[in-house]
Amino acid sequence: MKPALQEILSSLKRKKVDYADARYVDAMDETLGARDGVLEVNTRGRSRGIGVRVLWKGSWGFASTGDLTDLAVGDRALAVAQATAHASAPVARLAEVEPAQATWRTPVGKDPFAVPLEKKVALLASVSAALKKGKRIQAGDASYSAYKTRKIFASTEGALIEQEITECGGGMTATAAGNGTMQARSYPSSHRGDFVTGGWEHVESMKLADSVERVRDEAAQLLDAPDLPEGTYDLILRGPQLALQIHESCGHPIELDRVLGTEQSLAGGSFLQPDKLGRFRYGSGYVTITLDGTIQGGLGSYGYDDEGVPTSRQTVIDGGVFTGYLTSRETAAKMKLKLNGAMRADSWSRIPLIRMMNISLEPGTWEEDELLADSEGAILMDVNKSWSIDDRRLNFQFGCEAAWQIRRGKRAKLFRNPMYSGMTPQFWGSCDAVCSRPHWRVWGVPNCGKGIPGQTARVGHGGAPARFRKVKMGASR
Amino acid sequence: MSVIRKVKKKAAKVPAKKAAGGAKAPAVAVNGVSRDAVLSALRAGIRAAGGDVELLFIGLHTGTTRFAASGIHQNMMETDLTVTARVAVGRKLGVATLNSLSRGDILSAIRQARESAKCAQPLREFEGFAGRQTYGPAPLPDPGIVRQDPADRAAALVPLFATAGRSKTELHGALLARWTQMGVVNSNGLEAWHEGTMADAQFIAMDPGGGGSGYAADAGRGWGALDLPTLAETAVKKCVLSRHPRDLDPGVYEVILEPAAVAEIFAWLPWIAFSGRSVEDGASFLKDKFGTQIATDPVTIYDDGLDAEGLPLPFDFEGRAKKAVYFVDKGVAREVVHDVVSAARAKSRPTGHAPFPGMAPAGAAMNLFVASGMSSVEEMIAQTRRGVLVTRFHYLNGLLNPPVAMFTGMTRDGAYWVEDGKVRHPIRNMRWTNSIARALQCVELVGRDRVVTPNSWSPFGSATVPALKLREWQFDSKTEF
Repeated sequence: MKPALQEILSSLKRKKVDYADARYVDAMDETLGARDGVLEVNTRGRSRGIGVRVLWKGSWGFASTGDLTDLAVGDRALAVAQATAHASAPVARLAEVEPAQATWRTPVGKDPFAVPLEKKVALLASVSAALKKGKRIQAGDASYSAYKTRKIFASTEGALIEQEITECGGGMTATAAGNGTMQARSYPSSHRGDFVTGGWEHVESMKLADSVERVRDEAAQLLDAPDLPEGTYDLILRGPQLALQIHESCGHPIELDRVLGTEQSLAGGSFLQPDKLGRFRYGSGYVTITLDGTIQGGLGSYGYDDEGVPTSRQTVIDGGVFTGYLTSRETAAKMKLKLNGAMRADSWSRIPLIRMMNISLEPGTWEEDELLADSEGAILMDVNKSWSIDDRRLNFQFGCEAAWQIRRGKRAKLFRNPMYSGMTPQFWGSCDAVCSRPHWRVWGVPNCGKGIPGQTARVGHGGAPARFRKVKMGASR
Repeated sequence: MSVIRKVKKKAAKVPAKKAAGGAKAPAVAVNGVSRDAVLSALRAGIRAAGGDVELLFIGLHTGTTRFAASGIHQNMMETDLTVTARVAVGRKLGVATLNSLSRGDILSAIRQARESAKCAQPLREFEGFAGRQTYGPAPLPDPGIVRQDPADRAAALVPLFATAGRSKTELHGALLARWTQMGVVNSNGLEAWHEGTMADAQFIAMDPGGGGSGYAADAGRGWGALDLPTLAETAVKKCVLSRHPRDLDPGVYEVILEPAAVAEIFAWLPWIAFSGRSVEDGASFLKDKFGTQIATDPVTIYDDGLDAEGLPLPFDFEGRAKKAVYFVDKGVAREVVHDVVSAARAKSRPTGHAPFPGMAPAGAAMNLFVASGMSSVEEMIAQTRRGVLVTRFHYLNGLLNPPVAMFTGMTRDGAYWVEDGKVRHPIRNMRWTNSIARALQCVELVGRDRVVTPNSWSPFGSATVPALKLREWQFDSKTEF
């Protein structure tokens, strides 16, 4: 497809556009889902097309086509830009980037699309059937998805980048019913499980079968567990719930398009306005958060974004102080900030937006057993159930599948329907402990929504168990 | 304060606009394909492949203009044509999707779906693909959307930006036009075809640099159904009225939810309460309540793919004719929607609500309605002693405790304190957490005017709902703006 992209861009160059880029995307996906031993979801897909973005006299236009012979798509993108130029917010300039001639590929152990379907089906069927065998279990579900995206990016500046990104993951959930309620436990994460950039080896490494008994037992135990009493407790967050806390209260508010108001219409704005950069105390001194698209295996890891900018690592919260944004070429130029390769589209048919890559809480110094021993009476939560935050990313509330009170350094009493709430800077300001590197890992969030029409991004968040003091909690009865 | 306007049927006239530089605005062609060409390709694929096959074609032609701070910043023209093959090998099912109408690709999708099906376990409730159906009438697509041109959308926006500027506000939002083509052909002789259009307008008026914000939105089958100037003026008026908000202590108050807020709630309920799967899982608050009074008398909630006030879709993704289904009728729980598998599990009949092929068996209510009542929002305000008028919600979540439909969310873009029948002042945005199952028992008044809100995350689906006044609503905490 390289010649086709070059032909589109050559034609646009002759028409004196300020800038244009063309992306060819060939995206494959596979999703399997089994309930109670029977495969209910069994899909494969492939979508190929070209998306062209044109900047003409400061006005953007975008057009896309699934017809790979339709090279007039570039002219349509130009026509869109021309047709609306008189009403556009003009783009003064794009930040400079070295036009790369490069290839990048996700390191993959076992290509998930090459693993025999029978093997994948057998795993999910057996795990879901085993979950169902538990007492009071209403349904056992297990699922897996894989994505392979081949992209060619070319620009009028001379960039030509080929990438192949492979993503894979899954998980399982036991749903129990009885005692007038319904409760679920998931492993390793809820909402479709945990994902990485990588291959089938990630699903194998989850050892789903080894956790079946615990997951179904905990789901059943939750039916008889008390609701978490309303009150203020110390909170230990770990696993995918810590990842989602980072996602909603740090990842989204540092998206510079949102900060500058261009995502207001759907996703809202951000409290991290530019006057706060470099001076605002976002969290305690124990809180250092980075953006990093280079972490091997992180779901937000790739070589180049959809503007041809290499992904990178930067500190965005440094010892509690807010220091950086996720940027695009347009917003970086406007605010005179660094590029970090954050512009991604979810398909050939959509325009790139500023998206998270891997946004991570850096490790601290605590051992997890020491943290638990030092947290008598604290509440521990790990797997998400519900999430909500206001349109400037301040007032949040999260619900989790389960909570445990810590007694003598161990998980003791189990509570159901737990939820906690707070205000972002105060919450991160109350963080007084983060566990060390051996306890740190990246979790994948495969369903981050943004934009009109809606786009779904797959992103990652690293973290180790962390403690937050005096957090408001209760139960969603 | 007039916050809701019934603005239908007033044409939004948009002049043919010239491009910058004086040249005639270029027409931006939309690449549709004809009904005959699609159905002929699907028929040929099924004939050539043999066996039990169902093919679903979806053509989406979407033009979107997004704007912020009274300037357009994204213009997009998107066309995608996909064919999804669902193949049955006995009771085993496989699904494959490709974005091509070529004979080779259609056969490739069928082959891939068949290979996948062979690896599956039999789905014992699957009774085969649907037979021939008779469909109810659906309106024709709006030619203005089919011929959509971004210049028209820009031309419509320019005077609205000026209107906002006169009140020292800026407009953010989106105008989205979509022409949808959908066809289903299967090896049982079923053939279905539908073309629909949608115009969707969303306006947020904001004070530059923060301060107030206001919102108004509407959708219909074409721009002629929307009054864009009135929507923009409403958003601006709400923004101005939301300046200098005061704190409200958390607590239980009366509440008036405008249609945008009601629609947010009803975007969640089809999945957690109104599908066969949600009842099967025990997640639905309707489970074990059918035939009993679960809401106040004025509450009627239904799904109707043929109701032309919404965005009609006369059949589901497997071509089965949609039946009107009443979830709640005058306060009484009645039934839920099913596809063929969820219906068999519930010992019921499919209702024509199959979700997209490859999704778990469920039943997807995509044409949701709340029946109109008799009240205007002004009348609701007049009957409120101490309460909150809510324009819309943000980041609502309905997964807290599904069996009681426990939801949380934030108010957004205009929340106002009402006392002794009058709007008194704006309030800072509030978080709320409420059981919607209980909230339906607190509905006192239902609005007479309904607004169409399309699904944000799918090209299909909408909620057509009025304002509601409830006697109790729990507000938990406030935020800083």
